[in-house]
Order: sequence, then structure tokens, then C-alpha cells
Amino acid sequence: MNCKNKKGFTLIEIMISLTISILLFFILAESYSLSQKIYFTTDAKAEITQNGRVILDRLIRELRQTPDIITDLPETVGAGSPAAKEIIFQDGHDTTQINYIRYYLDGNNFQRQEMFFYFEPDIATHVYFYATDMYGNDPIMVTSTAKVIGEYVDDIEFWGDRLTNINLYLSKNGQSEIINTAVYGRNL
Amino acid sequence: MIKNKRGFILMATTFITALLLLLSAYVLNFTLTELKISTSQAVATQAYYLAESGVAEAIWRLKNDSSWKSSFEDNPSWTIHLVKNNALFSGGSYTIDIVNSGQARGEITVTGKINKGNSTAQRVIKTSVYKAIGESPLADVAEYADGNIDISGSLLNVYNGSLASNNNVIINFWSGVNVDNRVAAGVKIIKHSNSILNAASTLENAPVVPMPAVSFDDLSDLNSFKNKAGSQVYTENQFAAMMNANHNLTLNGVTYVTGDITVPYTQTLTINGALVADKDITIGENDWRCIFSGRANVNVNTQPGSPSGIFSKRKINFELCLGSFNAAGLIYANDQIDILSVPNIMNIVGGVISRKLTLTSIWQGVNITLNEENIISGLGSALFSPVITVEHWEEQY
Repeated sequence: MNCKNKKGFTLIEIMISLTISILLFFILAESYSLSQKIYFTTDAKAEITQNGRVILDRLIRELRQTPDIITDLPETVGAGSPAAKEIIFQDGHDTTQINYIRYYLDGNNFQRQEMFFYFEPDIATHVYFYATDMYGNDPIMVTSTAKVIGEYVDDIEFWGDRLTNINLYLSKNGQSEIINTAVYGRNL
Repeated sequence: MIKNKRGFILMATTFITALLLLLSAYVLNFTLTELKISTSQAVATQAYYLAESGVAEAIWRLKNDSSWKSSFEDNPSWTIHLVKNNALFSGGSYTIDIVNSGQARGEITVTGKINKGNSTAQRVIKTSVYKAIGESPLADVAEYADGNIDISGSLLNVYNGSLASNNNVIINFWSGVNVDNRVAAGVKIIKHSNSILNAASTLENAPVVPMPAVSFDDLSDLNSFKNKAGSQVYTENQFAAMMNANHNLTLNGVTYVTGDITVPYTQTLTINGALVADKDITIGENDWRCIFSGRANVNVNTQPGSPSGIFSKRKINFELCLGSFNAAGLIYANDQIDILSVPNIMNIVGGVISRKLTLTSIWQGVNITLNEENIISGLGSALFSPVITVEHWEEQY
């Protein structure tokens, strides 16, 4: 028995310190993983809420001003009359030309597209989608490239007569949210 | 010294462990707070859009619900409180409060609420609305003609309004003309001694009032009748066939006919909106068979959001087979209106505008009651203004 031996730890000491260390490690690891999980949940929730707001603010602003909704929306939603999944309406903000706006879902991306109609050869004069020329021909449709307005959209539903109801379904990382609202086109 | 060294390691280990634990507790607390914020933010967004839908419903009702519409427009101190439970989805509810601060001017307050467990998310949206009540370009004139107004052997009553011509007003052959306000003629009022004229005032050499224009078929004008009619544009023959197929025809919105409209005997027409013709409109076309078979009856009713009345790019003729004619709206002809026979009292609530008016009816009279709103909505395009304007939005928590 010399001094060196005295400096070492006993088996019990090592076991106790190991147990405490492992316990501590688990507590720390668990709190880390929990924080990580909550962080992703929070992130997903905030992101889908933000996307929902952006989509609805843009859509409602334009829908409120439209003079005419082209899409045939069912008055009520039931077994025989499913809600519309996209909406096309006339642009009410630009009164100098007749333009139409289409909102639709492409995968999980919510898209906005502009379109107009004309008769050959006068592309500068836009006409109504239901217009016919002197020979009874339908007008030619021109569509712009669609732009993504929002992401993480699972589904969208439109229904109602003039008071248009909108149901927006969003989800990301297992978090989901449904936003329901209604908008009244003041010029309809 | 050895003892002291051991103590230092223990101290250091304890300190680092405590720091790590504290740090993890802090991070956990931090993320938990974030979670609460994002959860409440998500529900709050739903509550906000629920309240938005309440505002949409309120404005919709102000335009389309007749009792809300008339109270909003006529009662300066009108208030209403409406609670809607399970609005849009279960657990969602909103209350609509409208307080008028004047005629057709008020503040809408909508509170959207969502119950989730035992907590509630709430959003309040306030918005001011008003309706611009336009004025008729003809002021209080209910019967207007750019040329002569010629009344023979007939009775004409103009209630709450005036009668005006840019040329002569001729009243003869035992006619009776009663006007609540003024009778104005651009040149002269020629009243024969056998006739009666009652009016609050009369004016000759009156200043010329230009005839208000109506946009019929200008496709570049978004508010022309032809554009407003949309898919309800018919040729003369198509419209005649429609009447022939249904002797009790009801039309809604704006109906546009490219050609003449001839309403034959035995035909009943109910027009909820406007009937417009590129050419002449003849109601109760002369035909001796109507004595036995029945006459032509026409009713015109107002329709929210649509002009109402009868509009012709040329002439409107009321002929011998007319049965009854009651209209809430504007009767407008770019050329002449000729009323030949009125077997039942003809009631028009709104106004009559034409190049000339000839009234020759020995049977019953014509009553025209001024309604500026019907005149304005009939002239429509020239006086277009949004009916309800949102002045201010506010979001409260």
C-alpha cells in the first residue's frame, strides 16, 4: 500500500460516478431532443400559419374587388355538389383591360396565374371569355406563367353564391391547420 | 494539498453539471414558450379570418337583406346585434354589431371567437361602411322628355317629383295633369281650356337639361347593358320564341335583345331586372283577337345589384292590347314613348326618360312616382360608384 494506490478510486466510487454521469447524459440528451422536436413543431406551425395568411390576404383582396367569378361555385356543399378546387375570376383592380386571375393548387403549391382572351389579330384588345366574333368563334386564351403564392397547402375549397366561402388546408411536418373564411365581392 | 485538489475537481464537475442542466432547462423553457406563441398565433389567425367572414356577411346583408338594407339606408340611429354560433365550423362563432352614425353610414364590429379546450382565441375587426347615395342627373324630375310632352284625353299624375321637357308641354282634349313639384318647359306650356293642370309651380323657357345617356351595346364599356346581360343576349326571333313557349315568362337580371321586342296579347312578362332592346319595344301589339283572348301584362321589379326597367334604343309603344303595366324602375327610350291605351292604371315607381312622350288614353291614367334610386341604377354606367366603401379596418386583440 503506497501513496499511488491510495489516490485511485474504489469500484463503488467509479460505479456511482458512472451512474450519475449516464443519468446526466440522458437528461441532457432528452432535453436536447425534446427542444429539437418542439423547435420543428413550432417552426412548422409558424410557417403554415404564415403561408395561410399570405395566401388568404392576396386572394381575398382580389376576390373582393372582382366584378365576375367565372368558376361555377356550388351554392352549398353536399354529397352531390363538391366544392370547387380552383377559382377563376375577372380582375377588378385593372379596369382598363379585361383580365382574369386563376388561383389553383399544384401539388402542395398554391399558384396564381393571369389570363386574358382576344380575337386574332388584335391581341391588344382583350375580350370577355364568353365573347364570340362575327363568325361565332370563341376567343383565344393567353395565360401567363403561374407564380407560387404559398406552400404546404393540402387542399383548398371554394363554394357559395356571391358570399364566397374558402376552406384552406395546410400541413408541414405533421402539423396541420385549417383556416375557414368568407369573402363578399362588393362588385358582384 | 492532495485533499484540496480533489475538492477542486468535485467543485468543477458539480459546477459544469449544474450549468449544463440550467442551460438545458433554459432551452427547453425557451422552445416551450415559442410553441405556445406559435400555437396561439395559429388559432388567432383562424379567429381573424372567422371575423373577416363575419364582416363579409354583414356587408352582404347590407346589400341583399331587404330589412338590413332599408334600416341601414333610412334609419340614422339603427343598431343591430347578430350572434352566429358554429359559424363555418364547430367551435367557431362570431357576433356582428352595426351602429349607424348617420343615414347609410355606420360602423361594423365583428368579434370572431374560437373555443379550443378551455381557452378562447378572439379577434375583433372594426370597419366603417357607407353607401354613396347618388343624385339623379335630372334632380327631382320623374317624367323627362327632350322634345314635346303631349298629353291628350288622359290623366297623368306625377308624385313626389317634377315633369320637364326641353321643348313644349302640351295638355289638351280634356286631360288632367297633376304634378307634386314643378312643370318645366324649355319653350312653352300649352294648356287648352278644356284641360286641367295642377302643379306646385310652372316654368316656361326653362334652361335646357341634356338627356341622360344610357350605354346599350358598347362592348368596350364594362357597364353597358349588353355586357351586363352576359349570356342573356338573344336575337329578336329567339326572344319571340321564348315568349311563345312560355306565356308567363319571368326574366331575371339584364336581358338584352338584338332587335325588336314585341310583347303580344295573352303574354305575361315578369322582369326582375331590366329588359333591353336594340330597336323598338312594343307592349300589347294591336290585334283585335286580344278582346277575346286576353291582353299583355308586364311587371317590372327591382333586383339588388342590377338596373331595373325597360330600355329601348329606339321607341317604346304601349298599344291597344296592353292589359296592365306596373314597373319599379326606369322606362327609357332613346326616341319616343307612345302610350296609346291604358285599360288599368299604369304605375311606374322610378322615372320615365325619352326623346318625346305622347300619352293618349281615354281609359285610365298613368301614375309616375319619383324614385331616384331606381333612376340612378337604371342609368347605371354614367353614375357608377361602389355602393359600399370600406373606409377603415382595424384589428384588435
